[in-house]
Amino acid sequence: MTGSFRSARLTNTHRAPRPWWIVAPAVIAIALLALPIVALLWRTPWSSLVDLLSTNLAFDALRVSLVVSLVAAGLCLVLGLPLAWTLARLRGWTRRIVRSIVLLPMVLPPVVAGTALLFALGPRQSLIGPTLERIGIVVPFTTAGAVLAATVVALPFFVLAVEAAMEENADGLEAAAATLGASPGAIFRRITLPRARSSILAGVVLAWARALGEFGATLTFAGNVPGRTQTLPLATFLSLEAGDPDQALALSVVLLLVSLGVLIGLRDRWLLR
Amino acid sequence: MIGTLHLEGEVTVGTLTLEVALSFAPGEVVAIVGPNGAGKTTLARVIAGLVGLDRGTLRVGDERWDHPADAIFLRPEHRRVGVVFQDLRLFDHLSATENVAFGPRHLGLEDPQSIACRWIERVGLRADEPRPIPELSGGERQRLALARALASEPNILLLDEPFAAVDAETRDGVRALVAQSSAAVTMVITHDRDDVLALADRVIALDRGRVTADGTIHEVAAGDRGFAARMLGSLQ
Repeated sequence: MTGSFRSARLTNTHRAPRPWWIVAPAVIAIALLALPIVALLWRTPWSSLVDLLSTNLAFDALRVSLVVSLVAAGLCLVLGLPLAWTLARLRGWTRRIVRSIVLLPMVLPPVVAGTALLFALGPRQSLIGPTLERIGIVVPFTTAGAVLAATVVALPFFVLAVEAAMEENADGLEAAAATLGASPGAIFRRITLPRARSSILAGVVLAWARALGEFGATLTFAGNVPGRTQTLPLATFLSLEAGDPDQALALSVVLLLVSLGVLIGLRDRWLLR
Repeated sequence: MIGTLHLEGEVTVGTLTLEVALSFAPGEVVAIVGPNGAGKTTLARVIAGLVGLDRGTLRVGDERWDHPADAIFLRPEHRRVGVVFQDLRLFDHLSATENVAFGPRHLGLEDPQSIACRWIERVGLRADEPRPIPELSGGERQRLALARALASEPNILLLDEPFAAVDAETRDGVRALVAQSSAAVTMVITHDRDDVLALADRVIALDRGRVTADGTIHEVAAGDRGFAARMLGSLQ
């Protein structure tokens, strides 16, 4: 009876075979992602790293980057949470329009976002820049401008991370809370917010990482002023341009370590799938 | 105390259209029976204010709760309708006590914490329950949901399949709590013949969004030729 199965190829595992023409490109892809990191670590002047990070340029860039990215992440939280909550409650075409506006900066080249900001808030020929200037507020080419540029590009990442958690009626808990006398505001505070805690945390970390890496919009809208708008990515690029690859490598290592930290911080969400 | 609840109207949710004209007098305990998709839960949602009528009126005493023609809709948090949901909807991120204290706290009752402890003990649980909600058994969770609904002293109590997971020994005690509750009107959605016999003095049978029978248990058992009669069976 079992004779008819003899010809079938038997293996001692239950794993389906993996065709080489799928595996080979996958290996190339991994190499493509890993090779630059390996090269960076290989070329980094480890022995003089401390000295390279103690220069005025590095120190200022580190300080500006920390301030700009942390304030931007904070703004993403304060503005993005109400935005995500509202977005989750819109329906039909208003939802599609608002969602497009929110997500656009994610796919838009950052330099375009910076240019757009310039024509919205810039000193000349801009939408509301001159009005702001008249009441004493100057945004472009200041630290505030760098914060704004970083916030614009980071906000979609935050909203996307928390939108699902802001959605109503996924499990009917909001409805249950309403029958118990809770107003919409109370439901937000006592049900929606605490249950979204891990999503909010992930969104903040993601937005912060994106803000920290911001380059194009910052350069366009806030310029490259040392100590005020020159962030780590800008200083890295400037060092390379100025023929100082060791400085650029040292700054890159700092950003790489931070990125690894973000990955480890979000491991429960992304790595342990 | 509240007045008589009158519901005459129509609502469409998904493929189901519920179209009913019903009155509930204070003091009534009503069993709602019917096959799946009959509109039992939708009826409860309309009364609780979780879905609005498309047409018609929901009136309690001389107060209109839902009257779309005049854009009148009383939000659920102002209705004092206690609900035990079929899927319970306990707040997993809060302690057992905080679940039960939730209603009293938002309704501004005095000392929500001790109200909660009292109700938790009444349903046969421990007031100092240290386990988080997901670690409670199905029956314990169901009793906690009942305690949560009763603790806000609802005028109307809606129970959607409330005792399915409660074991036989505690079931009588829990039924007694429902029978003694301060709610003027109690509606029990159930598939359990014993629930109907133990609790209800009136049975409403629904099918495909319409009332197919409405009366005392004996009337419905004798008169209805559909689901309700089969479910109630012979009462001799």
